[in-house]
Amino acid sequence: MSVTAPVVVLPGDEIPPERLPQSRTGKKALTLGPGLRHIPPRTIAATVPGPLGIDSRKNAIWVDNTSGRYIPRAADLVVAQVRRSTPEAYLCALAPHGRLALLPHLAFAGATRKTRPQLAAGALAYARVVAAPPAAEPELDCGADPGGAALGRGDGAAGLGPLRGGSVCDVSLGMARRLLAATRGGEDGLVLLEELGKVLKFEVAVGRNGRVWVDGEDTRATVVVGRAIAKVDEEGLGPEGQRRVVRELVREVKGEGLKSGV
Amino acid sequence: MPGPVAELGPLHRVDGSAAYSHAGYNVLGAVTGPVEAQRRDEIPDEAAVDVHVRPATGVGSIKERHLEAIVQSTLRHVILVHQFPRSLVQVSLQVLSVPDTSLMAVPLSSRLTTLALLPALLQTAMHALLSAALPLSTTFTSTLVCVTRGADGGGAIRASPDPECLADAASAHAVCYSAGGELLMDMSEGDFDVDEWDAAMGVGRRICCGEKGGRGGDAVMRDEESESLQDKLRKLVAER
Repeated sequence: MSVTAPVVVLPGDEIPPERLPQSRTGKKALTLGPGLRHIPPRTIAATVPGPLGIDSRKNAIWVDNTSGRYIPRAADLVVAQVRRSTPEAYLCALAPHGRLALLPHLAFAGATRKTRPQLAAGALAYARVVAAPPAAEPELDCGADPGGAALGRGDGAAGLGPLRGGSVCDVSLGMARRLLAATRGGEDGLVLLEELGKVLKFEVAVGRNGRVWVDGEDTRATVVVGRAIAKVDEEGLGPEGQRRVVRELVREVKGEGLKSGV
Repeated sequence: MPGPVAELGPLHRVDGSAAYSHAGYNVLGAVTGPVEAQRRDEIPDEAAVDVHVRPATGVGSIKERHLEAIVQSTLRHVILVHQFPRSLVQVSLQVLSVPDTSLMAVPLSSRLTTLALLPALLQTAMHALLSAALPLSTTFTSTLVCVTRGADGGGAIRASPDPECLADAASAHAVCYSAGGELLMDMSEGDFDVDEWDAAMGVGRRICCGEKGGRGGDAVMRDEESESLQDKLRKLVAER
């Protein structure tokens, strides 16, 4: 990756051919990420505003974009909320007012007609988007993920399934992507979860749809983690700022705990 | 006259929003979408674009419906609607304030006040769409120009005129140019000939897209405003 400041593009800007990543062997096909479209024969234009990201190793180019509404794409991990149940599937909300996604009753690890999880309206599930056709409902899956073992999850299921207890907080799409990259050890600059993990015990499930589920050892831990994530998202803090937020929040709740004699 | 001022994302509970103020017009815009469309609104192969214009005072009337129709037909060609079939993109534009014309000797005609509001609405909608990061085929900018005729019959072209100047003008033109310098929308009022229209478009295009897009010979704008609206838009997004 280059160290120069990234180029900011506007919708309709054409990406000049010399800016496109060049595969060294010339064998790898160019991968267009989100925010770009190919206009045949050989024009590549941006469709959303934002800084241009280039990975010459993967021969990929995309537009980094942190705002807007979640648009489902296949293979995304999402926190879905069950709205209602049909005879075959649960209908789940991924974003407010958005199209409801289908989560089949049998799409859970080891589920049969008799052992399937019973989810009431309002229940949460951590699921993977299997298919997202533009004109129809997206389809979700909570079953075993063949790639799960590669993510460092022992069960190979990427922790998919119903989420019980805990609390959900809304974050921007950019923050959700950074958190997801951080849980896979990819993103440098996001040390928040590691820092929190040194002082608190908690579980998180980060959805690409801008929803983060948090379950702490007690209510206080849940609240601290949720507030810390929201604060880092709103203020766009760097590693030093994230450490400061964790210190302040932990001190705050410890102080309150002492006062109330807990 | 101070240049336009825009802010991206002043509202938190919508997908994208923008506040825009220029020449006494203040507009707040919000974009929600793509969301699930109601059955009767949905279009099988593209997203429906729904524009709401709310006036600064009172409730919306025919004038607002007319403005909605113009903004809607402009936006529909810029948003990549085919990427989101059967869904809805809702654009709400709330006019916060308009220039005070109550003390003017000759009040502005209703048609001229309608026309003068259009560039502010289009500019706000574009900023809000960028804030919502909705896929677009291009960006656009919009401005108002008017042609005033002197006693000797010679015409002078003024950009972003104030209400007094607009009342004196022979004709007024609200224009909207894409980033590539193509004319997307033009609403003209008053008495003008082809040469005047051509000159007005040249000035409008230079204000929207800068020198490289300009083609007219008038030097009115050169020192007044060196930075085009398109450059301002780019700078605003880059700062974000």
